[in-house]
Amino acid sequence: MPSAESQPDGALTFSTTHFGPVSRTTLSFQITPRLSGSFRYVGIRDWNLNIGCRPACVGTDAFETYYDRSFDLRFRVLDEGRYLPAVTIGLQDLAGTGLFAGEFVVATKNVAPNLKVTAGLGWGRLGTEGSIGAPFGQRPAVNIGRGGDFNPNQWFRGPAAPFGGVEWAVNDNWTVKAEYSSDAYIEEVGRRATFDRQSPFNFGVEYQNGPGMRLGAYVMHGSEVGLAAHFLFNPKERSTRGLNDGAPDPVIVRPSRTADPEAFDRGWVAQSGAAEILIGNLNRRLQDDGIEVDGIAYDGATAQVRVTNRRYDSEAQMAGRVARAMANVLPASIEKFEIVPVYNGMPSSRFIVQRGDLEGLEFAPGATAGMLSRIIVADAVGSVPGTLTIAEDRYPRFRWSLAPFLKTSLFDPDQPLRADLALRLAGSVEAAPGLVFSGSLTKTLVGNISDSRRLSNSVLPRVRTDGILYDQQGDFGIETLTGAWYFRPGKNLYGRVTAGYLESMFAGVSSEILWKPVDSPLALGVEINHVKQRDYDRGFGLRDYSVTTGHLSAYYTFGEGYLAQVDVGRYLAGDVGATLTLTREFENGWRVGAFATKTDVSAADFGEGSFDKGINLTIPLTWGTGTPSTQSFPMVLRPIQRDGGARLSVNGRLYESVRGVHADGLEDQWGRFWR
Amino acid sequence: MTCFSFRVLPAGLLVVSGMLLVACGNSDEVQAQKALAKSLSSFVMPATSAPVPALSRAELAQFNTPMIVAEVPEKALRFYMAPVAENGAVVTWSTSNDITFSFRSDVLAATRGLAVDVIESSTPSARALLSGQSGQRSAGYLGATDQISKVSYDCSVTVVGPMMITVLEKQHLTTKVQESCVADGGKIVNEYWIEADGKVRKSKEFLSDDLGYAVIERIFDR
Repeated sequence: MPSAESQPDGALTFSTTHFGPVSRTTLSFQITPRLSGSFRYVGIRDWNLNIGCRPACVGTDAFETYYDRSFDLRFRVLDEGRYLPAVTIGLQDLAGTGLFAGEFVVATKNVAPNLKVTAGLGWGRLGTEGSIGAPFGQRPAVNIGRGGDFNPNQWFRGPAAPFGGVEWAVNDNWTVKAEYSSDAYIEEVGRRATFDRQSPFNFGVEYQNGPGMRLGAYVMHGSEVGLAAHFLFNPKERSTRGLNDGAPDPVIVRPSRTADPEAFDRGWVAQSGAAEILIGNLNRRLQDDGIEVDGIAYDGATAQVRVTNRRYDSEAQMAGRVARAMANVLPASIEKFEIVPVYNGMPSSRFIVQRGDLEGLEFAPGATAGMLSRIIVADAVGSVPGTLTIAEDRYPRFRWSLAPFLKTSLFDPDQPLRADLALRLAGSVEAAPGLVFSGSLTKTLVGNISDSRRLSNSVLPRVRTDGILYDQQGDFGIETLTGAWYFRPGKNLYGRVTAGYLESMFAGVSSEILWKPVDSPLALGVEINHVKQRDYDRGFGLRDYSVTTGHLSAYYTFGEGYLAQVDVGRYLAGDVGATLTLTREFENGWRVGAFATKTDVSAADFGEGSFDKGINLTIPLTWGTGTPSTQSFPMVLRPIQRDGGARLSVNGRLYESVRGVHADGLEDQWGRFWR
Repeated sequence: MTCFSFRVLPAGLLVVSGMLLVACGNSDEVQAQKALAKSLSSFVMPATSAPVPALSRAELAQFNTPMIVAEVPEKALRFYMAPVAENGAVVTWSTSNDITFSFRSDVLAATRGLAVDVIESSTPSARALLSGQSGQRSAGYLGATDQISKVSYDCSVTVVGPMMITVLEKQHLTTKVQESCVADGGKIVNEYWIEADGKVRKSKEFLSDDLGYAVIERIFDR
């Protein structure tokens, strides 16, 4: 039974509930304080047990356990007031097969400090028990077919039925619930008889110890026992609370100019070897912080230090550490510090800090806000004080790793969760600034992904649905082997050319230009790739299929962490269309987003799901461990992977690399500048 | 070459299950996995690090440096600290493992290297406290959200009276002062034992909700 209450803004909840033959696993996200979205995976066991079709069941009856994926949206239209309840409107399974579709309007009111009452009206699935008629007309039949399309002509149509419930919080830990459900489970208890539904009433008791986890046990429909577990994550706050990171070097304050005029002499600028000595001294200060000096440039009053940040997820903290190292190392005559983060050899932005502000604000009551108002973010292109000296031992730089990783395959109806434990050997050489050669080999150690028997039935070029063949025939192979050149063609511009084995399934050339001023919410990009499909064994061989694919992209940040991205272009299967991605990004780097791609491929040719869509989730490592790290775990959750609307996967795409070190990214975790 | 193992279960069990995972290399990913493995293993097998032992005055004298000791009773922590920097009225003291406390006019004004730090603050001076002057103070804390959360306190100061105290085997004549501060978030009570010249010899000062209070004794002066 739905409730009108919302989760805290930004909360991500993972629920798994089970009763009788029905299992539901749901991932929900509170997109805004009022709007939430859910992705649900439902499994119904004994689907064809009692319909007498075995062993020759066909169509949807072929499944012993029927699995379905669905999306929900809920919007709270009214906040709870002194007399008024909270009211929420919801759409369940709004783009699905229709079997789980239902709409509702629901109100919830706290009538006493620990007593909550909920009442609502449901349509569709939620209008199947105790209907009061069809106030908005008949519900048109839905063609289950491939599923995946929106069915707005169904919404709030057909029989409506009331539902309701009460919830009593016995104390902080225990809650008792009773509800009247308007879902008759027609398909499940009708001819399929997957369970015996004796009553619309459900009763339950729930236990929670803090906001992170809630466990429940229920008596469902008078005949079944149910169990549930709900987990709540708050992306806004690090799970470890604090940061596991040593103190910075304190600012060393210069003597006053009158007390020691000689200290301010600029003669040192002409001294040969000064740059190397300063680079060495800065590196000694920054070594423990995982920051490496790429180069230094200075005149008598300004010094620019270019750094590669290998550690801090927070650019603000990186800038704070480098600024303090500069205050410790640089001669007193330097009044202006310029910090230039370098990403893949590209100098990106330039953070300009007045040395006097650093000295004066270090412990001041408004130190954090004060520094934010004084720091200047500019483009790194076109401004170097004096001449740039690149650190002698910076290039070439070789890095390698041998580490295990986990690969998962979700929603195969034969086995909804498959996983492989695999080993990756990766290496990279930064030969010169911006020139990076890298490669990786992977080997599956143990797992069942390649056991899948679901071979492609796609009528499009099989640019993604043949993935299983790569898993089966290429369990040891080349993942990537590329040469990449990153460069700055001009102010506000970033460029990349990558050639080689770009991803597991494609090899070729990928090129990209991005326009992104440091303080602009808008960025524009062009990407053009020419690729050929790789052999299934993931060796050096190529198959016949080749395609030129590319996109024009626009990126816009609306503030408050909401981002939109539109990509228009040609996809891997040669189809033409557009992708819209909406993302909410939290200041610590957590991201939750959804995307949908519509191309000129018809729903029939696309196959199950009708068009490509899914959810993105990125969890920064620092959030989980508290130890600063630039690493994060990105995940893409697609109800199904088909060939339409598929994009090339290439490392080092520019927008994400560049944005973090721009004004936006710097402000996000600004609180860590002085940390 | 650096390698480490994912010890999320006792090693013996992992070997038996064939799941002893090892990662090697010098890339950022390996450093990150190392942090993750460490965090997982501390979740499964909480680390039991021995607290820093209490040392005698003679033992500490061998370091031949000004020194303070800060104890955090709530977490059974003990920090010995030596001065490392001076910025105006603020003196920063550091442990050997990069935890720093900064004092403005002898009153704790900032910390770095703790899970929750006092990043910035306004504080009364020891002399103002000694004169019983009430007033306001503020602190900006940095914790789980990576944002500064500012708390403003209204404080009333009570001069309790003269008191002879012992700081690591040595007696000092002080005046005990109590500073009682209220804010939206609750109430804190700091205590100071101040010598006639305004030098704080000992104090009990609020760090954060996370750590509670620190008891700080000034052993060897600057």
